[in-house]
Formats: sequence, structure tokens, C-alpha cells
Amino acid sequence: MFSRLTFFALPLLGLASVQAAAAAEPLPKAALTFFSDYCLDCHDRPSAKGEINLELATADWTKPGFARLMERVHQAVSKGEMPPKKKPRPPQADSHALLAWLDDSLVRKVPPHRTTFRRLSRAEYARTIRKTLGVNFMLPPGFPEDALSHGFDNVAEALVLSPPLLEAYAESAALVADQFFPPPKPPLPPSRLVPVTPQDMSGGDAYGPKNLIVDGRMRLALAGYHGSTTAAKFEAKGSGIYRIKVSASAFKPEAGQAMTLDIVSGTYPNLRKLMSFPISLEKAQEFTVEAPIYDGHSVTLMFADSPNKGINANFPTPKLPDELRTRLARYPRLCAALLTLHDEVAVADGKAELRLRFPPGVSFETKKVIVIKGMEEAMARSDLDTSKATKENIERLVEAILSLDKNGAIALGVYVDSWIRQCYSEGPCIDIHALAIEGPLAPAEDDRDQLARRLQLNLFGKRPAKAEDSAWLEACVARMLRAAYRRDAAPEETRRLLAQVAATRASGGSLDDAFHLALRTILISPHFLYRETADRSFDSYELASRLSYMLTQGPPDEPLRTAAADGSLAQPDTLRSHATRLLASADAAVFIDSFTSQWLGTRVLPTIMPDPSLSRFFSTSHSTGMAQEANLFVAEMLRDNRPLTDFIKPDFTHVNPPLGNQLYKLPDIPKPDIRNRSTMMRVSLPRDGRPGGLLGMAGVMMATANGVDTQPVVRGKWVLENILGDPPPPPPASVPAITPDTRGAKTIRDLMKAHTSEEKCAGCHKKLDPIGFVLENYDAIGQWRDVYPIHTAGPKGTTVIKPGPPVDATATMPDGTQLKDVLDLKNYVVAHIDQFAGCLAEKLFLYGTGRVPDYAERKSLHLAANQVLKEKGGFRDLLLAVIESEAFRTR
Amino acid sequence: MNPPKAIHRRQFLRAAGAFVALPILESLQSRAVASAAGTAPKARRLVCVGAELGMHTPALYPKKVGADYEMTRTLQPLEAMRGDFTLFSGLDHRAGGAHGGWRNYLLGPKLVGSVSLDQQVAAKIGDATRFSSFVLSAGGGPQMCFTEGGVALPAIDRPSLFYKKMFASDSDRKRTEHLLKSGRSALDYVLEDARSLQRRVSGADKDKLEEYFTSLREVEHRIGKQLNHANDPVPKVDYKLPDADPLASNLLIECESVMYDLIALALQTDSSRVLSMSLRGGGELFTIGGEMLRFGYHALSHHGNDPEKIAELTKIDAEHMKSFAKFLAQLKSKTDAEGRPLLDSTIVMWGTGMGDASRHSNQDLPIVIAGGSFKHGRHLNFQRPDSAEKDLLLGDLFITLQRQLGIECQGFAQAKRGLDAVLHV
Repeated sequence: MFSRLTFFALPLLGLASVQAAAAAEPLPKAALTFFSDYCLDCHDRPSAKGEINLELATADWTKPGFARLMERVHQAVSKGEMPPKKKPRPPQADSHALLAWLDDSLVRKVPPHRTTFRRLSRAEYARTIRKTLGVNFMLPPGFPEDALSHGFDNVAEALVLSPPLLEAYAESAALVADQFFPPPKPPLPPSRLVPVTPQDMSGGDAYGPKNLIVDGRMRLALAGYHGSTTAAKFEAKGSGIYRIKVSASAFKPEAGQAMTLDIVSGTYPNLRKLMSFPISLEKAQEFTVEAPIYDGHSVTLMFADSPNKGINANFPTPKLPDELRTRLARYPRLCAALLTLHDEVAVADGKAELRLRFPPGVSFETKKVIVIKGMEEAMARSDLDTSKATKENIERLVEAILSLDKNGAIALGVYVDSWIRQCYSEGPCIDIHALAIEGPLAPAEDDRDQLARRLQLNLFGKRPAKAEDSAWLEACVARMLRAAYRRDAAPEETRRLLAQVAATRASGGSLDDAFHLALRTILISPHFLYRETADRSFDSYELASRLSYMLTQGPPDEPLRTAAADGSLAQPDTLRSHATRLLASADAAVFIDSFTSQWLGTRVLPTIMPDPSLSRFFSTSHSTGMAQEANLFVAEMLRDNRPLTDFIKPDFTHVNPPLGNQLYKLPDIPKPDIRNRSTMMRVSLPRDGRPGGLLGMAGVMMATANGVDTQPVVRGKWVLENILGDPPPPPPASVPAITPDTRGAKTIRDLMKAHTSEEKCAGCHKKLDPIGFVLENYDAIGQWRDVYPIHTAGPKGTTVIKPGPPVDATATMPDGTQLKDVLDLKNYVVAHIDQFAGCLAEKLFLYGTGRVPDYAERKSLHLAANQVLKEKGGFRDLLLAVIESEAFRTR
Repeated sequence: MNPPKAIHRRQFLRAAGAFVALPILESLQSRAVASAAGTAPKARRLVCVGAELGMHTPALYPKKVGADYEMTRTLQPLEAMRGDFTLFSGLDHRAGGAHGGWRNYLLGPKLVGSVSLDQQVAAKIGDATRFSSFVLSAGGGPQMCFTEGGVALPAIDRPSLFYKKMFASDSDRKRTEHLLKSGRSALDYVLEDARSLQRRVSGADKDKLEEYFTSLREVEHRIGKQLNHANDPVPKVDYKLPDADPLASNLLIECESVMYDLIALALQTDSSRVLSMSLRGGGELFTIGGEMLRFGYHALSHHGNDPEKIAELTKIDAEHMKSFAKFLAQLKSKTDAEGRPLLDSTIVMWGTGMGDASRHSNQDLPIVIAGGSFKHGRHLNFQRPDSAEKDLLLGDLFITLQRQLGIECQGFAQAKRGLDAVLHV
């Protein structure tokens, strides 16, 4: 069992014992000699190779630039990267002396980094408002974006505040305050009667009509909102009671079945049912209801229980097969018409399947036209053989439709179009003859009023009989402050806000006005917008916030606040138990997604548009599956506290059928169809296989390419930064980017050679390129390839892809390790798992504290990570070790 | 109607059923801009319209170029205005494709971090009016306008809201003033919060707080500016808004028409000089000429060369042009404070970020420029092999538009040349 106390017992590594070092001290003789004997040939002031100048007389550890330079020296010498291989080697004792001095100085003399004021990120801000005040709040469109730093969006340094952002905060604060105290309503206008003809009712859908005017009536065929119609030229002027009169009849009702007409109001999906009427007669009947309609809303009519449901092909539900069956059985002509568009195709075991018939090579657009036209022509035929609409054929059609791929699924939407048209002539439908809306007859409380009442009650409790009850006022103000500042308010803060409330009242404002302004004020206060604002002392509230925002992206909950208030959070056990509690809560999913999608880069997947000629099957199901794979994988690593080597060579992953079947080509994954394409499933993997782990994830490979080409340098850099924790410095500004040549005349490796033969590039590319080359087996969407494709222009603007030169995935790591493919790379990382563990600890630290650890903290994080490895701990142990580290618990 | 010769303190204009009382500030502001630029700019206002699905260009582009081009089916509604506009074909930003590329229209090739044409212009000439710019959409069109740092500006998609913003009632204005004033007191309050923090921090935290102080000052300044305008006289207009905002998807064209009317009012009352409107291209199922079309708008744009679908799509395009023509006619008949027809002092651009929606191409964007005292009446094609201006870009047109507005402009994205010679000869 991994002992947690070990970490608290670790030496503080000088964090607390930094000496007030003199600004600059002379360089010790050992360093001076080492530099002049082994470094200054290249790194003297004039040449300053790699922009590194070691011709120094003094050391000023308080200067961040100097400390960074010395860190690089420490790293290069300790790893044996410098002096270069072909230059004379320094005796070990000299190296050791230099490294010891550097290590000691970096730990003891460099002032510790501290997280600066940390502004809430976009996601944190929205979540904080929702959680602390209980309001509905989404960031409004146009809300400024946050900048990324070191790959994450919650790094303090990059979370700047700008005037447009503060303005956006102020506007959002007003919106929130309006939810508590809605602005006064204008008086209701006089009542009027608005007749609504079928021509003034809405209809329409992306691929065809969803309802239709037939014989001057609005005919509703499809169930629910999808087939509804709205009085398009009416809107309530003020929330009030309105009288709604509707004249409706049944069209070809099913025998003995009344149909239900729902009168609803609102905007989808927030619809309020005002009344239901049974429609059974084929002659028009008038129905009347008086009900509240809210300001700006209209009246919508729905055929609530139509047997014909709208079929949304992009989001198939489990009910889909049954809906298809019912519909095909109800309309034999429809079934027969569909059959004429299908061919029998022989499959295994002498069986035959139905497939939609298309001429070879037609585009997706043309396919849709073929389906629509074909259906219309078939339906118009008088010789349609309806006897073919047998149970067996219906089953075969359902199977054929359900096995459609992505494009087929959209084509299914087009089928639906044809079906709807059929409903209009064959029923059952509800016909709307006329609608009239009269009002407002009387004022009515609307949803905003109701919400305001609820919010006020939650935050302020019951209002006392006397509005000027000073104890209640003070309690209200303290509650507002406590909600917004994520801690108890100081007496002075309460006093100031009370004074503001009094000032508003004194200038003639109501209590509501005063609270409205108080909310707007505290929501733009630095105490709300920033966290980690305490001075050197990092109090328990700040720690509670740091922990809570790290693991839930939101403010501390009540148990955490209590632990902060009574000081118990300072106890390691308490901190650990809260961390464990939050990790087990539903909110931890936010941490998993936010951390994973930024660490592994899967957040960018939706923005990458893969070249369609690269893969004909690629769809958003694949990229969504990739992002979910990463999240589910990391979640399971955390939940089961799996060993860190499982990040690299796991025996499991999670895929959806498009990802598992088409991209990874895993055995036993069903062929993707519209039923299963978004279902994630856990699969076992051989530990020595290609898929699986961070170096076998399509999402990682796709995120490190650009949708069209692979770029070995980008992938190499990604692995160094995120797996091995050895990021290369940025390239010199003068280096041109490589323009890949996809005609196949040259491989990327040939192109890179020119680049790496230059001496000034070779230092870093020695590390970058081998990793990038090994990963060349993954194409731009993370699909395995053994040869490069050659794209050539085919007839009529098409692209023809032919196999090109083989992928050469062999490489030599800087330490001489020979790699022949990605399995060797995985083994290499497993052999250097301490490096990975330290790297991951640094990432978690960066994410949690919002800053890059300094040398001393890195050293302590790596020690902690090594301890986890030594005690055979897992990912959760590592995360907890980071949280329990001295650096996490101080600012 | 005789154009008024002198600028009266209160001028009543009658046009298209709207009675407008001009605010006194108008003429003074116009002069201020003119003198700042040295010579009076030929145009003072810019309207940019962008259609999500563009146009079916085979039915829009004439075969002939120059002044004697033949009228096409889509251009037909603009026939009467023939001398007042120019049709451009072959211009684009040489940018990458796909749906996301639509935003290239006013941004240029770089999607992230660029400022859209309208906001570049608003930054220069927007201060003179009560509203430095308006961003509108009919039906909830694509994001089109981006400010400093590439932040998308939300669009107003309710005509009644647009109207209310411009011609606020007294009680609305009182509330706005109250919110601005109390907002200012909130800033004073939190300034104290920040000061108390400042007393106990050092180093990088001071920089963070400095960001906060700077932002406070800037927002305070903006509120001050808004409060200055809060007391500007609000023009009284007599325009009858429809009883309900035409928000239902099948009422897109109606929504667009009402928005055009309100844009005309905004220009006439000098409430704003920079207005943009994007037009949605979703699943709307239109009724045109009393007949319901068979397919939704978006489905029609993916016509797959089906002639029936193309015929319906072209009908929609012509409807867009009809409401556009009505808008231009309004601007032609209305006059600005100096008595010039509004169309002469207003550059109106109708365009898109989608050259061919059926294949999501953003090459060859159809653009119509009307008004703005340019030489008009021609079809100009920039991709004909015999054209000397082969390499001119849409950005070159944007350079010339800005210069016409009195803005010194050397380039727009990668375009550096401008089209002055073409539009002024």
C-alpha cells in the first residue's frame, strides 16, 4: 500500500527557507572553469550558439532569465547532451561539481514562483455563477475567449483582463441581477382579437415540409413539436391571459381513435401545454381555452399522439426500428415504393440483403436526389405491387435502413420526407381551419416572475414583515458576499455593501433596486473574478478553492467551505478525504474532460477538417469517439488507480464502432450503423498491440496532424512535452517551415534530412525526429498505414489515391536506443516511466495551480512521482500526491 | 420633392411612409468627420449584407461584362436601379473552404483574430453617431462581425428590438440611464476593492491588478460616452412595426425586409452609420408568389444540379434581390441632412462568404456594390483570362470602400492595391 504520509514528510526543498540572496554574486571558480573549458567555444558572447551565452562573470538568481538559463545548463549537462559528443568530455568530477552547485543554487537561491491572481476562466466563471447563485446562466454569444498557456486555459499568467472582458462581466452581472429582480414591466396594452389564418402559420423543415396547407387548412401529420405549426404573425405583447379559439377537424382518422390536439406556448424545448383537445369528427369543431401566454411568445398547435413520429436520422433513438416497422406496415404503397429502390445483394451463407441502388461513383448530393425522385416516381405509379409489403420484406427494409452509414443516414432523412408527403394524403391528420387569439384579458405571472421568486427565496430566505429589518438586511448582504467571494465576508466588506444598499435606498431606489445593484457590483469585484488573491499566506479558503476548481471547475461546496472555515483543511488527511470525495462526485467528469482534452489535445479535434480524399468513411462519429475514448480511458485510469505504465501499454480502451471497427480495425467490434455509431464500448486489448495507450490513440495522432498531412516534428514535440517531459526550446526564428510534397517524389524523411543536417537545428531534432518518424505509421486521422498515399488528379476533378513509398518507422533515440516501430517507442517510454510520471505530475500541478512549477518544485514533484512508482501506486495516487505536495498547498 | 438647400434645425422628411424628425446634432457631426479627413469624403455610411448561402451564380452572373451586360434572372428585380450598382464576379480572399470559411467574407483569409470590415470602419467613423455600429441578422444568420481580437459581435435578430434600441421610449431611456449611472457607481465600489488588494500585494500580482484598473478606467470611459449620448434627442419616427416580429423560419424574407426598412431609418436619422446584416440559410420553407416551395432553403442550396431545385433556389435568390431593390429605392428617394440622396452618401454591399453553397466553396464570391458615389452600371469580372486585374482580391475592393469613406487605408489582409481606378473611372 502506498503511503501518503511519505509526501508530507518530504523535505520542503528549501521552499520555505530561501535566503534573501544578494542581487548578484560572483560565479564560483568551478563553474567559471567548466564554462570556459567546455562551453565557451560555441557559447561565448559573440557566437552565443542557440542563443545561449555563458560568458558570465556573476550569477543573479533573482533574475528569472538567469535562473531559466541555468536550468537549461543543468538539464543539458546532466543528460549528457552538452558538451556535444564530438567535443572533449569533461571529467565526471567536474560535471558533478557544476551540477551540484547549479542544483543547490536553483533550489535555495531562486525565489519561489507563486501563482499570481488567477482570473476565473470562461468555464469556471459560468459554473461559479450557476453554482453559487442557482441561476440559469450560459456565456452570452460574443463573450471573449481565454488565451492558452502551456496547453491549458486556466493558467494564471495568460488569464488577462481586458476592457471588453470587464464589460462582458458587467453585462452578464446585470443579466444575473435581472433574473433575481426582473426589470419593471410596461403596462399591458388593451386587449385585441387576432385572427390567424392557416397562411399565417409556420411550417418548414430542412428537407421538406413538416406540415402543409391542403384545401385552405393547415394539415398536421407528424407527432409532437417536429410536426407542429405556430401562429407566426402573433406574439403576446406582455404576459397575460389570452383566449385561444381553434377550429379543427380529423382527416382520415384511424377507426375508433380520437386524436389529440395540444395547444402549447413557448420556445422549443421549453414548451408549456395550455390544453389538450380530442379531435374525432371529420367536420370542424371549435375549441376554446383561456390560458397565460408570456411576453413575446406565440401559440403552437401539435398533433400530440400521431402514430407518425418525425424521424431524426442524425440522432436515431432505440425506438427507431419499431417506428420504421409501424410506418412501413401502415403504408403498403410506401413499402412497395421503397422496395423498388433497393437491389438484392448476395452476402455470406447464401443470404441476400437489400441495398439502395445507386449508379457507381455518384456523389452524395446526387444520391439524395436519386432517392427523392425515385420515391416520388414510384409512389405515382399505378402498378405498384403492394402485395410485396409483407412482414418479411418490411424486416429486410428496416435492416437495410438501419445499416446505412453516415451519408445513408442523411438519405434516411430524405426518405422521411417522402413518408410525410404520404401522410398528407393517407392520414391520419388533424386539420386546422382557423385560429383566433384574443388578449391580454388580464395580467399573468410569467416564468421570469416565478424564477425570480424562487431565486430570491433561495438566497435571501423569507422576507420579514418589516422591510427595514436591519438584521435581515445584514444577513442578506452577507449571503450575497459569501456566495460570490467563496468565503465568509469580512465585517468591513459587509459594512461597505450595506452602506451601498442604504445609499440606493436613500436616493429613492426600492430594496429590489438596491439588491440588484449589490449583485451587479459584487459580480465584477476582484474578489469574485479572481482567486488566489491572498498574500503569501495561502489560507484554507484559497486552498479549498484551488482544490475545488481543479477537480470540479467550480467553487467549493459546503463541506469544503466548512473545512476551510474551521481550519481542518490544513490537515493532510482532511485535504485528501475531500479530494477523494470530489473525485468520486459527478462533477469530477468536468475535471476529466477539461484536463484530458487539453493535455491530450483532443479538444481541437472538432476544428480539424480531414481531407475527404484521405478517408472516405471519416465522420464526426470518429472524432467524437476519439475524444470520448481519451476521456473514458483517463477516467478509468483514475477510478481504478491503475499503474502509470497503463497510460502507455494498457490492456483496454473504449471505442465506438466507427472508431473501433473502421479506424482501429479491432476484432469483434460491430460494423457501424446508425443505431450504434455513437455507443462507446470498453474493449480488451493485447498489451503489445498497436492501438491503446497515449501513443496508440487516434485522437492524439489526429490532434498532432492537420487533417491532411502528418508532421513528424509536431508529433515529436508533442511527445517530448506531454509524455517524456523534455520540451525542446522554440525553434530559431529564421527556420522556414517544411512544405510537404504529396506527389510522392519525396518522403517527409527526405525533406527533413536537409533540415537536420544543419548543425544549429540538429541539437533538438535529434530528439524530435526519431519519435516523429516512428509515429509516421499513423496518418492524419490516426489510421495505421504501411505506405504513404500518392494523390494524383483523376478524371473530372476527382482525386485518385495510389500506394506510394513504404513508411520507414525506424529511428535511433538520442541515447542510442534503436526503435523499429511504435511498439518499441511504447517500450522505451515504459522503460523510462519515471520520466513520464514526473511529466504527468507537472501537468497536473500546472492545471491545478495555474502556473509552471519552478526548478525546486519540479524536483519535489519528480521525487513524489518516483515515490508513487516505488510503492507501486497508480494514477490516483499520483494525483493525490500532487495535491498533497507542499507547492500545491502554498501559493 | 425639392431637396432642402439649407440645414434647418428641425427638418421633416417624408419618405416611404415614414416621418422623421432629425436630431440637431446630425449636420454638425457630419461636418466634424469631413473636416477631420481634410476633404469631405464622398460617402459617409456603410451597410454590409451577407447571405449565408450566397447566390446560385449561374443564374446571377451575366455572360457579358461592362456596361451593356444582359439582365439575368436573379438580377431582374434590380433592373430599375441598373445605374446605381455594380456587380462583381471573381473576387474572393483566396482562403480555405468549408462552412467555417464563410466568415472570410468581411474578415479576409485569416479567420482567427481578424477585425471585420464593418468594425474597422466603425472604429474610424462610428463615434459621430449615437450607435457606432449595428450588427443585425435576419433569421439568425452566421456570425459576420468581429471586433478587436476576433471577438464575434452578437447580432440583433428581432426587428422590434433593433427599433427599440434606436428609438427608445422615455421609460426605456430612463432605465438605460439608471443602469449606466448605477453601473458607474458599481465601478467606483469595486475600484475600492482593488485598491485594498493593491495595498498588500507585490510583483506580478501588481501587474494583474493593473489590468483590472486599466479595464475599470476604460469601461468607465465608455459608460461616460454612452451617458453623453443618453441625452441626445431621440428622433421621433412614424414607422409601423409588424404586430409580431417575423421570426418564424418561413418569414425570413419578411424579416429581412423589415430590417431593411429599419436600416434605412437608422441612416436617415443618423442613428448609426455602420450597419451589417447577415441572412440565414437554414431549413426555411418559403411560400413565394402564393406557392409553397417543395424544399427547404438549405436543401435547395445542395441542389445536386437538379434543375427543379435550381429553379426554386433561383426564385429565393430573386426574392432576396427584390427586397434589396426596395431598400436601395428607399435610400435613393430619402435624403441626408445635406440634401443629398442617402444612396449617394451610403455604400451598400450585398455579398456572401459562400461562392457556391452546393459544394461549400468560398471562391468567387458574388458581390453587389450600390451607392456611395461610385461609378456604377457595370458587371466587372476579375477572373477572365484577358483581364489585366487578374490578381485583384475582394480585399482590394474593401480598400477602396474605406477610402471612399474618407478613411486612409493602405491594405486589407493581403490585398494592397485597391480598386479605385476601376470604381472611379
